[in-house]
Amino acid sequence: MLTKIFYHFYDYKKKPINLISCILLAIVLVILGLFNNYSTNESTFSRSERAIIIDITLYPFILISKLLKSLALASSTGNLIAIIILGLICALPLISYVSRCIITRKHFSLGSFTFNIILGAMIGIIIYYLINPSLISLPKELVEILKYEYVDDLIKKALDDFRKIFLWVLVIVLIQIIILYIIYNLININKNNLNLFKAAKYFLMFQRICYTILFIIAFFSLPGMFKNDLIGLINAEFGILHIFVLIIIKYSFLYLMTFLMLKVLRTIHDLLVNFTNEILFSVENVIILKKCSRLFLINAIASFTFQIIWNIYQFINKSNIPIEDLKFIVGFPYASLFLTLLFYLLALVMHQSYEIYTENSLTI
Amino acid sequence: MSIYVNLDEIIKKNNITSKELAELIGITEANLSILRSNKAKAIRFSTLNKLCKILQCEPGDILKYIDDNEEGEESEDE
Repeated sequence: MLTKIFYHFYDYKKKPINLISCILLAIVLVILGLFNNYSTNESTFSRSERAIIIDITLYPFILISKLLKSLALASSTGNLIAIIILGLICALPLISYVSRCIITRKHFSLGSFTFNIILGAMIGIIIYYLINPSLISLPKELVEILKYEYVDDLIKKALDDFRKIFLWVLVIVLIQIIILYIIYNLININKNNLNLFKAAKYFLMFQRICYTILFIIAFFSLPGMFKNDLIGLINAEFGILHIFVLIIIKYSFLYLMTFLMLKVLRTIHDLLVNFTNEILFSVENVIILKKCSRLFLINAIASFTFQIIWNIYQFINKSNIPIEDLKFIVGFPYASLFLTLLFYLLALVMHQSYEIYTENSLTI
Repeated sequence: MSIYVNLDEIIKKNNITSKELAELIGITEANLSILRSNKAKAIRFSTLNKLCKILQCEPGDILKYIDDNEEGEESEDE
């Protein structure tokens, strides 16, 4: 449902109302991201990404659980309402599936039915544990092991926050179940009838999910991380100006790369729409694939440039930056370059296919 | 391309309309128009066979080879 709301923002160039709603949503997300209290305020610059990712993943569930908890603690009627709301949230996937089946007059599938029940149950468990975190306890054997000194400090630290990590793992499992379900449906369709145009509909759903996640990262997660890094900046003993410059470099490139990925997803959206409309051989598709290839190449160059600027700046000013904040990055953008090549090859194949198709259609 | 389809003259000689010819060959009028305007990339033997049969002519009457360079020189002389 959420992805369908985001779907309207794809055409923000077409209608002014779409553009306005897109900007409004981005502003709301930025405000939520800035006002969200991350659990890692004490840490300094760029040391807290893991904890922030956990916080961000759990954020929607935390919001619902906080609301339900305040309702439940208000009065006995509030408690009853909270239980009903929790039940409704758990039943929401199943209700939406059943209503979809009735509206589109599709047959009930046992697989989808079970999937929606598992989905609802997992959402319910996560919210219930968030309302009552004391219910999550460590096994006695593990507590005994942790008493020994040889256990790594890092693991000990991680286990301090084990409740949050436990819930985070549950959310990750939930996301993986959803992805596996989509893949299962895709394979199932192709097993019966190998149809690219039908498969494109599923890919469109994937693309919408990716776009939504990336939109949330760009306008909710990144501002939150930026805020956290600035808080860390205040705690720094010296070299504040240099650390600030590094933060600016880091976020400018992160935003540039996120923008490029959003553009890639928008371009792929156009390609998939063409496929769903059964337009396979057209010059437009060749142009789209070449554009994607170009965008991935720019992304790879941006990633490489970021590393060079980041490392050189730190190396030049290494005496002015606290040692714990020095962080050199060495990595080769394999994924981006591989995708550049893949999309370029696809464009060539599509171009060749288009030529053969035109020749065939002009054979009388 | 150097190969030209010379259908217009033969159609005129046979006193047949495009619509009738398309129906007799079993192709669409649009495809016949592509053939007449030299936009076609290739012609099937089956289509050529039907054309020759209906228009009572040889394949050589329908298809003509004109060297592009020669054509260019001629137009320059004019």
